[in-house]
Amino acid sequence: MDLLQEAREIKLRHQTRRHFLKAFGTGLGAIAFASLGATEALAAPDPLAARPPHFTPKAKRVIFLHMAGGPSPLELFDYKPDLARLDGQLCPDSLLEGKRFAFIRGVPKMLGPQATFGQYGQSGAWVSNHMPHLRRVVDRIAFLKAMKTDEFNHAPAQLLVHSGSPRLGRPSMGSWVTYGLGTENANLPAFVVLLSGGAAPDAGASVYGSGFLPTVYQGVQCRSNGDPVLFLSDPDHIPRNLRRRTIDAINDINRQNHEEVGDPEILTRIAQYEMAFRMQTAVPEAMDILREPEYVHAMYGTRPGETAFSNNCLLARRLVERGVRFVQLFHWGWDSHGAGRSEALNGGFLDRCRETDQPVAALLEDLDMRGLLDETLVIWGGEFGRTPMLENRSGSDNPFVGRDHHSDVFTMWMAGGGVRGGITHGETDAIGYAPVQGQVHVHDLQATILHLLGFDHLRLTYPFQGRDFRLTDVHGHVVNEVLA
Amino acid sequence: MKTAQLLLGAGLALLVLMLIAVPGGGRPSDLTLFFGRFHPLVVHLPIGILLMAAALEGLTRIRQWKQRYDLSVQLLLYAGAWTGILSVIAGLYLAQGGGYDPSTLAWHKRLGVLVALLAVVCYFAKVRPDWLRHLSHIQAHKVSGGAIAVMILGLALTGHFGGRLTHGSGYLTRYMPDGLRQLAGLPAKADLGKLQLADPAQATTYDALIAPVLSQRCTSCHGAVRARGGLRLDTPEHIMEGGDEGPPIVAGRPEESELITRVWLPLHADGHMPPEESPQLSVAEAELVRWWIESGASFDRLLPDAEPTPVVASILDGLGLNEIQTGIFALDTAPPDSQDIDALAGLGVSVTPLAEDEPYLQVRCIDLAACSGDTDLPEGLRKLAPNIAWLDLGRSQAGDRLLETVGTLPHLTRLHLQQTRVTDTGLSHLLELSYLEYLNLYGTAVTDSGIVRLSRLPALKSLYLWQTQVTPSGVEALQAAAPDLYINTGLSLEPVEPDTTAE
Repeated sequence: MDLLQEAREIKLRHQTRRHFLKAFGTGLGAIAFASLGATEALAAPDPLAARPPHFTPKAKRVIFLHMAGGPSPLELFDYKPDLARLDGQLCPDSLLEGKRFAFIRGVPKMLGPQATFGQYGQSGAWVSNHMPHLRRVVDRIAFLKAMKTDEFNHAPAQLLVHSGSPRLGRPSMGSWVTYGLGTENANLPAFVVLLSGGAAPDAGASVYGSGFLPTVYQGVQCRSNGDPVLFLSDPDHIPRNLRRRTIDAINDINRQNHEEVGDPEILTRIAQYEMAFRMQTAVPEAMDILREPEYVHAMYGTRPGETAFSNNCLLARRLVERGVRFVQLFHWGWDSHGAGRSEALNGGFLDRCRETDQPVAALLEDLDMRGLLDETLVIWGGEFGRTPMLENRSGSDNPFVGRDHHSDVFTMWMAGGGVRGGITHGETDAIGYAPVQGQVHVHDLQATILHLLGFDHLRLTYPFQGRDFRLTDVHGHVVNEVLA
Repeated sequence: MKTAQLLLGAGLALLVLMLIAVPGGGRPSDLTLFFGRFHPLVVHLPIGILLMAAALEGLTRIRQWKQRYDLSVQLLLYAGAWTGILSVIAGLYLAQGGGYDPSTLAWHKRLGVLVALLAVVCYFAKVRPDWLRHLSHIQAHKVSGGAIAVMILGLALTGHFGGRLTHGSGYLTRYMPDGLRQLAGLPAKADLGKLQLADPAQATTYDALIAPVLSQRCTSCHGAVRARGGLRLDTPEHIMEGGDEGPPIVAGRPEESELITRVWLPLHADGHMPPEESPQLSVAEAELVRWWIESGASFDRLLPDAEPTPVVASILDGLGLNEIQTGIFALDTAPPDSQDIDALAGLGVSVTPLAEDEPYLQVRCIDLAACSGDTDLPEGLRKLAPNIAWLDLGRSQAGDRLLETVGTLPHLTRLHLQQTRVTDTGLSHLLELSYLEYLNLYGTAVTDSGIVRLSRLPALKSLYLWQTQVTPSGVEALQAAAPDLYINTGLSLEPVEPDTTAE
């Protein structure tokens, strides 16, 4: 350490907090004054008040059906007869060079489609035998067959789909939309999350978190069984009018406190108490699928009293009907490696298809006959695709049939508000391994979703840590081909 | 001296002869075009020479220099007259090639001939002032001075029109500073290349995109003035009628349409159009015409109804036609009064603008019991009548009385009335909603007789009738009257064979 540096450090050691405050007294005063002024400006608007988007939207609401784990397009929509001929052959080196896989090691074998395919609807869309109900509605659907992601592990890939970044800390799509549009129905949360499939998303609540946005925009997880929102019900023997008086008293104290210190977060707290009180009646009503007639239950194939994807699809319809902006469904269990029965193309995968096929088709039809599909955007898809190779975990054969994670191509689909139905955009090669044309990156999908909701994805920003952030980060192009 | 004068006289006679016996119709011979192409070479000689003559003529007006420059002016005028005559003759040949804007060409030709004539006149006024003295009592030098002045003016104008023929009309002003452009009444530089349409929403694809290409690239030879090969491309009727070789377009089949296949031929190939010496269609222009033919070659389909391919969409982007406002968005509606919005929002509904900078509002009933005709809601809606575009009264207490007001909202495009008490009586109030695109009536008591009149709504695209009294025959009648209308009468579940894949 040289003399100069030592002198500098000694000087810093003698610089106390008192010195700092004295030296910067005027600066602090200015900061305090500025925040006093800002209080007035910030306190006035309700953070959830309905706001207009940048341009007239085609879709007012979104239902995002996330198939967590990465459903295999090769067994559902991406028909590859050539792959059947190659079944059992060793994968050529040219396909493996420069590629990284999550589990495949050495030289795997090719795996033919574990499904039979047919063309359905006037559009002649390819659908496998595992999705018999979906065939009825393919003419409302735009398939994106050359989706692209940057990640081949579940948690980062899910974060990328939902927050635009593979790392934690960014707001989710539903939070961005709520931040941009507010809510029309103050009695219900604007952004609702429904989970099924026996496990939470790998990336945890961050896939529906608000990141650096105010927490008022985060997704509210509702349960389809028991109390829909935890800790919302009144305690036993507490009548509703007593509850009302309790909240009034708390809010009065909070208001006095706000008059004294002027912290805008206190107003947020007051608003939260009021909303919780309103939600106490509105949420149980909206979340009670037993109010639906029997034929609706038959249509969706619901399982009342259980946690089921079909129940959640019906709930999603009830929620959008009541003005909820963004309904996020997660259905876990599509990770078909073949390492065990539950995660195999000839095991758990078939179960997932049976659990989701009927309710998804029913959701589209139900939304349509209520006139809601015209203004509701429905998105289906996982976080990545799967290899045309049979997974050989760590170089040895798996007990069941499965495929490894694959980030270069996967299929997602969109339907409803503003989407051109009955089309397929994007194409993969003869074995469904690489894109041939019409590649759509996850960021492009996000830009398109925001576009349909009336947002220019470049302009929906939030200042954080010195720069304006957006959902698509520095990427994203609207996929004009799927717009109606 | 005499010989020279006689020769010039002969040259003048030749020019007059050429003008009278101007070759017309048919394809010009290669020799004609060969000589014609010397026009741009020769034409700059008279420009320089005659300008020089005018300058020296000015000097001769100074007494002590008259002697010194008079002969030079005579020589320059003589050379200028000859090169002028040659330029005109070459120009007449060049014009045979076609491909020039007819009115500009006509002016260029007239003025060019005038300049050549005046050069001859000026020369003789200079060398034979005695002829002039015979004719009048004016001083000869005044006549020649005036004639030279007129000639220079003509020269400038001829040059201007010639430049326009060669370089197009915006050449001179292309890089003019925006301030000057504004003074000259020209659009700003940033708007160059953008299509300036009075009302893009009402323009047809043909008028906006196709006719300008044909008139710029084709109609100088295939138009009212000249119709080579019997073909005229200046009106829809003439295009469909075709020429000696039949109609130039086959709707829906660009590869069989000569209008396209000839443009696609190699530049030097026999039959390539426009002729190789004429300005060619740009890639974008050719693509627009191809797309127009492919999508049916309609002369009256409106621009907003066109379905551009991705390539055409990017061309339209470049022309500034990416966002064509249609329906209510093409109207000039005043923004709503914020006090009226606050008043309406207090009546149990949410009121939000459709978008930033948009005068239109979406109104949604939140307090379902409060949304009926017996409250202040009708009055609140009436105050914002021109601004309400989307109205959602679904599941509310709205009934036929409220629809009396709803029917007077002129710019309504989306109307939700599902699960309300409205009946056929209420529907009859809605028949003036000329912009209504979406009408949701599911779960109401409407019947066949109520909905059949909805075919009168010109903009209606989607109608929802599940759980109503409407019968299949009622839907059939409405569908017959409005074939493009999407009518949803609810679910018709077909049995689904379950997936029987064994594990």
